[in-house]
This record gives sequence, structure tokens and C-alpha cells, in this order.
Amino acid sequence: MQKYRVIFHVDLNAFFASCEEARDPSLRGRPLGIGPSSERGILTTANYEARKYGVNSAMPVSEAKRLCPELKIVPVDFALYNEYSETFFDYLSQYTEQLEPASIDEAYLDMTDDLEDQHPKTLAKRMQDELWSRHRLPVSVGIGPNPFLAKMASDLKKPFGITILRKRDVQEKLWPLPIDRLHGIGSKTVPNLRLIGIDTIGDLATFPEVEKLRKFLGNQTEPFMNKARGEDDRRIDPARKDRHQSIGKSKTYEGFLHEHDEMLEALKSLTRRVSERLKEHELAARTLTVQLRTSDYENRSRSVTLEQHTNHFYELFEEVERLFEELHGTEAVHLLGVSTSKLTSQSGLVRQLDIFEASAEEKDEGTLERVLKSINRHYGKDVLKRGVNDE
Amino acid sequence: MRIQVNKDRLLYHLLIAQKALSTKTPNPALQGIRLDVGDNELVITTSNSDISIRVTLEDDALEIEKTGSILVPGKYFIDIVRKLDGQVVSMTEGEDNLLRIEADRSDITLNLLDLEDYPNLQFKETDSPLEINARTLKSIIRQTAFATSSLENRPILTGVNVAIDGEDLKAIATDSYRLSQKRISLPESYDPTDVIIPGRSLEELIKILESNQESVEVHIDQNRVLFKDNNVLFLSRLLEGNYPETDKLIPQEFPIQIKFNKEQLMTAVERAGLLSSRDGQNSIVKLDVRQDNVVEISSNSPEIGRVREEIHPVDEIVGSPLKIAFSSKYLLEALRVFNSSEVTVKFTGEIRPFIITGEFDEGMLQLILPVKTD
Repeated sequence: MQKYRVIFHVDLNAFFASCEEARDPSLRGRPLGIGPSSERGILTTANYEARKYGVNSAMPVSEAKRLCPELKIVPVDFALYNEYSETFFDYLSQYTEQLEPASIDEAYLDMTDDLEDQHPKTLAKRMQDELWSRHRLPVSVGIGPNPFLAKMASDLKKPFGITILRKRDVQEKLWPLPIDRLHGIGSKTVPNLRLIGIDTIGDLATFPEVEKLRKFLGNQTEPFMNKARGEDDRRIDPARKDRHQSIGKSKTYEGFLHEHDEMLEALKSLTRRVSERLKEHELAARTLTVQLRTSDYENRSRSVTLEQHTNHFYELFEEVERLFEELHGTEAVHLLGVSTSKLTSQSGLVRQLDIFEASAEEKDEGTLERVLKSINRHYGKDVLKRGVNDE
Repeated sequence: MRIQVNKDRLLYHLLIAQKALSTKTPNPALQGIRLDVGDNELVITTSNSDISIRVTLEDDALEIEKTGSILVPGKYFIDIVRKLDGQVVSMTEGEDNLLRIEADRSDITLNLLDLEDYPNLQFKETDSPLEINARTLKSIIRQTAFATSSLENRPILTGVNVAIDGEDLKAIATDSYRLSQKRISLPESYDPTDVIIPGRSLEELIKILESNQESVEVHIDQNRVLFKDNNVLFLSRLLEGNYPETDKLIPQEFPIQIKFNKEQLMTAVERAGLLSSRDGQNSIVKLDVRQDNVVEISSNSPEIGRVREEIHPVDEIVGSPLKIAFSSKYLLEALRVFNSSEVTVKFTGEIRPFIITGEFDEGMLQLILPVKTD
């Protein structure tokens, strides 16, 4: 008997808006748009509350405001989305190595060999619950015997959906859907298909005149017909490991940070996290960015190109501190962020030793880190943590 | 003000003063050269707020008809004097803040800057200056200042630390990746002093010091140091703060010691540094002390190629085999300041600092931190 594959498609719902809500919970439950504050700008996306008013992505801000006068608009912050995206992939990667990031906010997982006797739905529920409770990221999970059905399944119910689409459900659940819901069919093709009488996915699956179809779908005719029939033998490709273009960490401080020392402490713990994360992924960075938002919501950031690639806390923090001094005046701070980019693999990395560090840091920092690591390794993860306000 | 002066003498002194002339400055007055004509002398002053120079021209090349002080736009003035024909320049301060410059068949009128805007610079001498001969001072600077840091993130390391105690003078510079130290014995004994002089100031200073046996007076004040070389006064600010304690960072025992011909080592490292994909001169070179008393210098850039060089040390190698990697730039810069034709490289371990000394460079030590390759 042929073994059925179990493919998950995990999709972050209203991703940009969810990130903003995760960072600033006061935004939750209210209509929220992401985009420029100018009336003439175009909205990048909106949360579900806003969508109820008919607000949509790629809609002019003025129109969105007309549809939903209380719509709050926050600026696009890709550093934040990248950060959450990383959190998301990091979280999922604990379940299987057969993970393929499809975009910044969705992933395919081939769970066939990693179910460990659990029901797929139980596992999906756990992913959904944990991503929400730990990171405030809402996801929909689609489960199917192939990537296509998994993707269609996750689309069926949003947000917070868990949907299984089996081969035998195709006729009942997929075929009645309008043809534009078929993943991959472009909006220009849809009218042509309608012209020859294809209105639903089912119409396509059972269309008798393949040659006629070929005029519109070209060499994609068979793949699309197969998909419409629920067939897709594409493999999950985890090779896209170079997904890390940047690694960073930012945090908002409700009630703001007022004291300079507090800010430095906060930056220290952010930098430590970034350094740890780089090390976890065996990466080193060449560019470092410090970001801050003042209490009057003014965003500032400054970057520096380092002399050499590093993932070393001390080397990073030295620059973080310097950049911060350049960025910061006397105002209270609402958000701080540290991010790194121009990443390279740690192997083959050359590190110029420093005479002062070699004596001071390798002694205390090095020993401390070694002890921490060995204890944590021995007892499982994170028995011991640093006593800084990390989270 | 009205004077006649020999053009070459004037230009010679202007070029000394130019070393402290500001080109980019928030204070436009500092783009000017101050000229003060007294009864017997012409005093030329420039400043860029880090360093200030005052040169006195006082000889038969100068003929004074009327004293006075003016501030001339520095760059234009020097360019004009440089291009003038004839032996003698005559300069006359005219009405409306103008300077008339006449030489041979040239007649040039230059708008002057406002003298009132020029800062009041104090070239104050102290009672008990340190005396050091010019050539020694130059070589101390040449052998240390290159190792200062050029990055402003650790300002203190952009300076050379000069510590005097009795007859002992010790100069240290480090950018934290390498360190240079020079010790000399002074002919006289002095009170203990410990200052940090900006490396860039010193690099300007050696350009104007004559390499002779005449002595230079060094006047150290609270936050300034004044070098007096005959008719040239060179004033630099000092860096504030405490210089890190470096003595205990320098290893004392060296299990591995190799004596090289300096030129051989330099050219081998230069060649090995050629094939590097790393930016700047920061190519990484590996040094491998082999069992057979041969030292191998190599570098490898997968995308460009490999270099392998063999060097036979001058003497039997002391100690056990070792492999160490370092930035070629640091080694080359260190070797360049040695007068000795043979140098001894002393190692303590593969990721420990190593030092270089030379028989004919008494009191000098160069230290380099290796790189760690994972």
C-alpha cells in the first residue's frame, strides 16, 4: 500500500497586522491598517477587524478611512516582520527538518515521518496554540496529502483555522469553489476561463476539451488540471536554508524607558539575544543596525558596517552602544531594536583577537558562557538563564 | 603692516605652518593664517584646534617697514606665494581689510579675514621642559604612532601614551590588535609624567622636525603639550583619560623563538598577502613552524588561489612546532619600523600574542595579536 504523505501548510494570518498587534497589544481588537499616514498613500495590509469594514490591502488610505473612520494606521516596519518571521520558522523547525518557507509568512512542512503517532490535527492544534500563546501569532493550518491540498486547506478557514483536505474531499469541498480560488490561477486568466464555461474548480477538473484549455493555460494545463483534481506530487524542499537575511530583536516598552542606564541595559539584553541567535544558526554578521522609537513615535535608526564579521556579544554591543549614543538625545524611548544583516556562515570565519578582550572577557564572559551552556545541555534547555530582564 | 621678505624663506615657513591649517572647520577663522609683524620678526600662526603651529621668521631675509597683525585666507595665500616669480615679496596692508602682494611684475590684492575672530592661542612654555634630541624624538614617534587606532570609538587608543619616570621614557601605542612600545633612557632625570598625545598630532610633528642632533624642548602642561624646535612652536592638545595598563598584557616567557632575516620575512609575507579576498590590506597569512627547521608562510583564498613560501630562519628554531595566523598588515607595519636587519619573533601559543624584537632596536618591542580561524 502506498504511504500517504502528510503535508502541513502553516499560514500566518494577516501577518503584518498581527506582528504590530503582538508588539503593541493595545492595537488588538481594533481596525488596524499598515501603510503610510498620508491620505494619498496606499494601504499595505489591514487586520481582520478592518477587513470587516471592507478595508483591504492595496486600497488608498483615503478610501480606507472613508470606509472605516476609526481605522488606526501604523507605518510598515519590515525589521519587526522579519523578526517575527524568524520566530515563526524557528518554532516550526522543531517539528521537522522537512520545512520549506514559502514566503515570509507561510511554510510547508512534510510531517510524514515526524508525526510520532500523533493525529495530524492534534499536532496542528498544538502549533496553533503555542504560536498564539507564546508569540501572539495567529495561524491557520491546512493539512493534506500534498502541498497543493494543504495550501488550499489553510485558505479555507482563516483566521485560526485547522482544515484537513483529503483526496476524497476534493469533489465535495474544492470543486464548488470559484475558479479564482485555485492557487496559481492569475486574475487575467480567470475571465478567459469563464468565457469557455469554467466557473468553478470542478469545471476545470472535468473540462473535456483539453486542447481548448491549452490556449489559455499553455504548458501549465496539465499541472492545473491535476491540481483541480487534487493531485500534486511536488516535494517539500528544505534546501532554502539561506532564508536568514537578517537576524534581529526589538522590544517595545509600555510606559517608556526614561533612564539612559535602563536603555543601555535593555540594549544589552537585546544584543545578547541577537548574538545567541546568530550563534544558534552558526552565522556571523557584518552590518549592525540600532533602531529606536521615541515616546512621540518618531522612528530613528542607524547602521554601521563592521570591520569583520562577528557574532560576538562584546563586539556587537560595543557598536550598539556607540550607535545608540548617536541616535539618542534625552527623550523617553518606546521601542529599541538591534538587528544584524550581511550574514555569512560562521565556518571559515576569521576573528582578529583583541588584546584587552583576550584578557578581560575570555576570562569572565567565556567561562560564564561555558558553564551556562554545559548546565543547560545537561538538564535540557534553559534551566539557567541570565538574570537580566530578557523578556 | 608693511614688509618685504625673501619669497623662498617665506614659503618654507608657510609650509611648516600649513601642517596645522584647517581645511574643514566649523570656525572659518581657522582657515586663515595669522601674520604678526613685530619690530624684528614675522610670526606665522595656524591652528586646527587639535594642533597649532607658530613659526617665527627673524633674519636678514626680512625687512620691516611697518608693524601690524593680519589674518590671511590660508590656502589662497600659500598658493599665491608658491607661484610668485622673483626673489622678494612685498606685502602691504591696505584700507578696507585688504592685503596687497607685489613681486616681480605681479600685483595681487587679497581680501583679508577678520582678525578679531581668531582664537587667542597660548603657546605657553613651562619652567622645566624635557629635552630630547630631535632624531630620537622622531624615531620614537615613527616607531609607535603607526600602531594607534584610527577609530574614534575608543578615543584613548588614538593616542600615544608617553610615561616618564626619572630617566626612563616609555611610549606605547595600541589599537588593541597590535601594540608598539619603545623605551629610552633620558640623559637627565625628570619628575614622573604620564600623558596621552594624539597620534595624528605626532604624525604631523615628525613632518616638520629636522632630523638632527639638536634638542627639542617638550613642555607638558595640564591638557596640552608644546614642542619647541628652535623657531618652531608646535602645540597639541592631550587626550583625557587613563591609558589602559598594558604591561601585564605583554607576555614574558616565550617557548618558541625564531630569528629571521627581516627582508626575507617581509617579502614572503607581502607575497602571501597578495592573494586575498579580504578588503584592505587585512589579508590573513599563516605561519607554520615545521619540524625540519623551516618556516612556511602561506595564504589561501579559495576563490583566487594559494601562496606558499618557505623561509630558512637565521638560527636554529628554539621550541616546538606551531601554526599561527595573523593579519599581514600588522606584521608588515611592525617590521617596517625596525632598524635591525635581523629580527626575533617570539611566540607563546597559537591564539596568544606574539612579539618581535631586534638586536639593534634596543628598548623596542612590537606585539601582534593573531586571528582565530574557526
